[in-house]
Amino acid sequence: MGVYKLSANSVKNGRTVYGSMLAGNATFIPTSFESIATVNVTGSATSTVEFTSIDSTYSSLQLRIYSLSSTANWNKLQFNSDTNSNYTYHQLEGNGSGGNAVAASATSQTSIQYAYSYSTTNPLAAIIDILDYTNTNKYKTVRIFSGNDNNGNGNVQYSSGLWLSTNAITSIKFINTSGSFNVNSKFALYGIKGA
Amino acid sequence: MPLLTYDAIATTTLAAATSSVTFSSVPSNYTDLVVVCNIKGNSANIGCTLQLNGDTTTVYSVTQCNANQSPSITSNRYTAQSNITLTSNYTSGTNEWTSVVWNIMNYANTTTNKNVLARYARSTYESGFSAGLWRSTSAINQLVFNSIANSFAIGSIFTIYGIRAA
Repeated sequence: MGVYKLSANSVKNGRTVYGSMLAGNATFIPTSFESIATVNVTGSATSTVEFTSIDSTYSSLQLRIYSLSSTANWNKLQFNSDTNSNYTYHQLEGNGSGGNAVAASATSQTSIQYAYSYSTTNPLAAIIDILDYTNTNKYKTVRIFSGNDNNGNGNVQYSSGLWLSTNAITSIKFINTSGSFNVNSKFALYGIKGA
Repeated sequence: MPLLTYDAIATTTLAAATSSVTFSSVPSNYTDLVVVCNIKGNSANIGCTLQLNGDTTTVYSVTQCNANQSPSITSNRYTAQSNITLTSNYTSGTNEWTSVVWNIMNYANTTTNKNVLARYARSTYESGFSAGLWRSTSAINQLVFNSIANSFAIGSIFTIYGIRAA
């Protein structure tokens, strides 16, 4: 069997015959890390960003956030529009004070605080992993790595969050509690497949 | 339609000890970069720094949180630096390797400053994490990893990945 790959060069100089269906192309290896959706804040600032109707075919989700804020404040998240006191979190926080780091925890919260934003010009970044998000027999655990250095203030956090619900997660809302996510903020949602 | 992503862009494995590793001409068609390093000092402890686009001016800063051999967990901030420094003494010259994962977010945008999140771990001395800042709106096209106080040893590995958002 011959496989022919036509190109401008082959039309001019004759076709190239390959013994493989790849016809000289690299093997395509699908990854298990897929981009599901992205929200770019454009036009005007917004106080909330939400992903809805999240595909249930992945094992876990990862959110990668790069945001600018109109005011210094905690940024928070909620699942499935649940505004009840069904959230808890534990944080390890470095605030650059030169002393000890800070541990914080809270129960019966109406959201999980995932990062503190300081600046309209120096971005906050957060990487949030949500494991087994479609399981209807488990509460949902979230791992958060976030930080916002502002050349003189800022902090960095490693946190866990819990949503006390066995519902599959179908939507995630990000809330700027006392201001807005400014233009040029970016929220990217990825899905990671299991074997 | 989901977009398959998380591509390995390049890997450098050191065949000789060196104090600097550079990734040049970083492609701009990803959203974030992730650099995974497995490093140690050639003959003594080292630290690791990151410089972007060859910029050696004092436009970097970093906030760190570290847990080391003392029972406390500490936090420090370094402002007006000429690079993003992790910590200066976390890698030994023995058969003990340090893992570092750098996340360079929204690196190709030309509108805003850049945030770099990093995690690092050495089993017998220290682990920690940090948020770094490069006050530049330039797209990042070059990464330079420099060692502090000693060279990176043979076998040190640096791999850069690209993550593309839909």
